[in-house]
Amino acid sequence: MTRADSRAIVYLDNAATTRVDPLVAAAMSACLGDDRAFANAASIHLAGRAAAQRVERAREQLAALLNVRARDLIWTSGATESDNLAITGAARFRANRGRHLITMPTEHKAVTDTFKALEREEFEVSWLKPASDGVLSLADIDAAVRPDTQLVSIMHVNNETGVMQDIAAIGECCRRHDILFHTDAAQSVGKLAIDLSALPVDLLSLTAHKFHGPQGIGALYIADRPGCQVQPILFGGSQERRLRPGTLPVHLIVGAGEAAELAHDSSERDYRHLGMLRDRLWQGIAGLSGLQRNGSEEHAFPGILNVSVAGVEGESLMLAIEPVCVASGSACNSRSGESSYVLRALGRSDSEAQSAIRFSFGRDTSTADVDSGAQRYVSAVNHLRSIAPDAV
Amino acid sequence: MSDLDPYNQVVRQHFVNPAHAGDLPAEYTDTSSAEAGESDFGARVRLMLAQRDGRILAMRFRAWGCPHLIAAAETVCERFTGETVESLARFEPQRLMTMLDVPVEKSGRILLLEDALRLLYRAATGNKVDS
Repeated sequence: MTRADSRAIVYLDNAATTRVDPLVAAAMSACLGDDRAFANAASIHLAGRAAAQRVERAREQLAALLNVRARDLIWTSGATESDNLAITGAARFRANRGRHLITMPTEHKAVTDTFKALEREEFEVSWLKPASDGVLSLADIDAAVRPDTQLVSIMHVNNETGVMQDIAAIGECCRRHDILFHTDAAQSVGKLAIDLSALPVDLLSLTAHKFHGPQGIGALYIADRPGCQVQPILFGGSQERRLRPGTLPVHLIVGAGEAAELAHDSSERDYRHLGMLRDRLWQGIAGLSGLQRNGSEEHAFPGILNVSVAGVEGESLMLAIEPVCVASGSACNSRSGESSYVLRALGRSDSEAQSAIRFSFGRDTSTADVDSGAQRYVSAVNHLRSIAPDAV
Repeated sequence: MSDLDPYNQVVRQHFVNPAHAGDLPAEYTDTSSAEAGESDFGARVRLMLAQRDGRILAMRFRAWGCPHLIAAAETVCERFTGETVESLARFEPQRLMTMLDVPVEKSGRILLLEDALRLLYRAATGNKVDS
């Protein structure tokens, strides 16, 4: 076993996961030994009903964050499962009407891989490419729609670049064509105000660990309107309207509910805080030559900053900036070494994508964290450039 | 090195403190250099040496690539400084790969370094015989 690395980490990878809020942790911990929380929420005895009440209380808390009815939310293990259930479940439900689906190649792998699996089931998928800034044109969606199109899936905030798509406009387009609209909102729920009573979104995926809740719990919103249903992809119980069987993890759900309530209370303050941090970090590194931002600045979520820099190799850059914790241009393939398919879809070269770094901020990120990150990044880039064969 | 840390302590140490990175001091006159690889292919390294009477007085490197490549270049410069120029021809890439726990998918980086050393040997000895 290696000796522990005792350096204090500087955590700037909140798009990967966030620290559990102490209040959330306390609420979860209290569940584990509590007679009125530990039981199986599906049991009809006193202890089970008490646990079920905790589950429903948390569902109400999450519903308040999204301004929806609690019964329209299904608990899942996270956004990946919600994506799978929404996309596969909706496609199969509406397969008798048509088998054409639409998405983007820049979606999270939980979405792209699900669509690829559906292609193997002989669904036909149109992969709409974004512009070089990552934004999808509404005209492209309109042009791609066919009489047999049943589902469009476009993520709200891109997990690598922070590019925000106009889900209100996309939803309206889908409504005009009577097509279901799913959005992976894992990066936006709990950070951006999302009013699902006003947005034309049929299916929405979310996960608690992106807004200071625990890992392992998420939800799928399913709009209560005609034609909007999903078939289950898991079988073996009647929980969650028979759409997601399995014993509910009460402590995780309680944590998700608490996190949702905290996010609801602090959303405006958090939004300003994230924007301030992003701008501060950018100012700290903008003096580097050969630096470019990846993704639209106009349609940008404030909690993510993705940059590429010329003249340095990505893997070395990641090691050189330790103990700052960020994501590389390999992003969700952090251990694979492949350059980011999202950045390559935006037209970045392999070396630009591979040298990209994603900084991402959270409620508990401080200006000291950002200043340290910026300083470490500039120092690392300058050092690697100084030992490169092309150094001046 | 734990299974989760892709770099062992030697790599980390040589990556963080590459004492031989940069250019040869200007005081040396009998110098040679050689380069191998391309940035577009993910790795590029330049090796330089100063010699007198067939002995390597100093070695330096410049590299663009992953931490294993940088650490390997540093290790090589450290290893051969003070040795004979002829010793460059006896470089054993497998020993270096073992010392640095280079994963098999990166073995090409070490072979690239071997190419650079071979070219450096030729440049330093005026040996124009093809390998």
